[in-house]
Amino acid sequence: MTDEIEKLKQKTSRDDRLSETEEEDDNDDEEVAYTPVEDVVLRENAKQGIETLREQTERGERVENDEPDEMTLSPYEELFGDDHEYDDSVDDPYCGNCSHVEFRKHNGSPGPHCSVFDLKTRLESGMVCDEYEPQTHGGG
Amino acid sequence: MRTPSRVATFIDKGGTGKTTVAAHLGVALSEAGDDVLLVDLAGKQGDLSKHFGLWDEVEESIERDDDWPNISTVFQDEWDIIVEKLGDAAVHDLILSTDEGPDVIPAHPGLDSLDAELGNIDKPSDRYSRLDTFLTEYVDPLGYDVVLVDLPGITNNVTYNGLWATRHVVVPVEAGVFEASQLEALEKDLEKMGENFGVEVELSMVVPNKVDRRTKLAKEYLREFRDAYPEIIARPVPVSQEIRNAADEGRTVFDVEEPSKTGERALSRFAENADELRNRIAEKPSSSPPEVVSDD
Repeated sequence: MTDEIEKLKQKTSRDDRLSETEEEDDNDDEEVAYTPVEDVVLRENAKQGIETLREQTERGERVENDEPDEMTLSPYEELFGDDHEYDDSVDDPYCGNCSHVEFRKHNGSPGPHCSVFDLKTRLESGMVCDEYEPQTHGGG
Repeated sequence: MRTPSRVATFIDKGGTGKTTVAAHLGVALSEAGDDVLLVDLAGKQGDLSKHFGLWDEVEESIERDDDWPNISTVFQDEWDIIVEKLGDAAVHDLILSTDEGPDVIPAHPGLDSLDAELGNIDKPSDRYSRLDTFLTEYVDPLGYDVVLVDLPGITNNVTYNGLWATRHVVVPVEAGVFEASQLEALEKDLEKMGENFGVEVELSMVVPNKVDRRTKLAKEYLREFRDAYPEIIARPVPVSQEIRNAADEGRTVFDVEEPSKTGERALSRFAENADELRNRIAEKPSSSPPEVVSDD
């Protein structure tokens, strides 16, 4: 095999590609690319957000305030208390199946409840579930 | 040059039998006289190859460090240069023959990082069209009648490549509420693809799979699927231990000499569905370029 082909092989082989991906993951400033549905959802959300903001401003409802909003508890914190320390080793009833709940993993991968709705997919594709219900039991 | 029809098997849900349906439709089409190529993008576990007893061969090639180029390589920026350097062998070496008719491009562990890699490509038209480009430039000239792509059971950048490239999707469903909702979600996804990228992907066939008519639930869902998709519902494929046993032995039920009754019924359903699928995809070719591609 010539040097040139060997270089191509190394560049496109799995290990090399994985390390490149990991390096890129470390870079927080890296632009994130989205799936088509996510592109659309984000665009629609942004458009709607700007429209709402404009309407509120016009109606005088929105007052600029430098003070931070009162901290609201996430659904997870509401259930377990805000001092609850998240334990990665147990089933987490919140699997992130809606936009306001952080995606949590079960032992490093989506938990059994996640597989019910294929939540990783939902999150990655930017699709959020309108009928979110915490799942505390496994399913498949 | 014949332009092959392209089809993907997909639903955003695991365990509905996508790979089994892909393998059996592939063999059924092949038995009916078509030259069929199966492409396994469904995951590094290589289930499609296992259906044809090819996975050991793939694993051995990985152990020998003789697994390059592979299916994940065709998505890389350097693919054209690789073909230039290696010649026709680059493409031919990707393809394995089976004893049952179809050829197979097997999965590879490199697929596991592919979604993230594709996600780093800025332009959507480039990110989602890599498979389409590969099939058009390198597979179409090989003269296959049908290229059937088995996709992962999740929606990601690899899936969109498959849908973008094939424009026809076969959806295997089990009788269950999750399949019904995922089927609806898929329809919406396909609509969005059409609206925003000008890529019209047709829901070509819904295949009720692993149907157990002894249960009331199965009958109810069958009725619901029929009502919801009267034009594209396929003949239901019965649940059959014979299919599982055959897969375990590295073959499809078409290769079983004296199949059980349910095995035989499943076999004839796959054959009927393959026949119907051929008619449907023949009406609308796969490889028409997108009319509108937005990179916004």
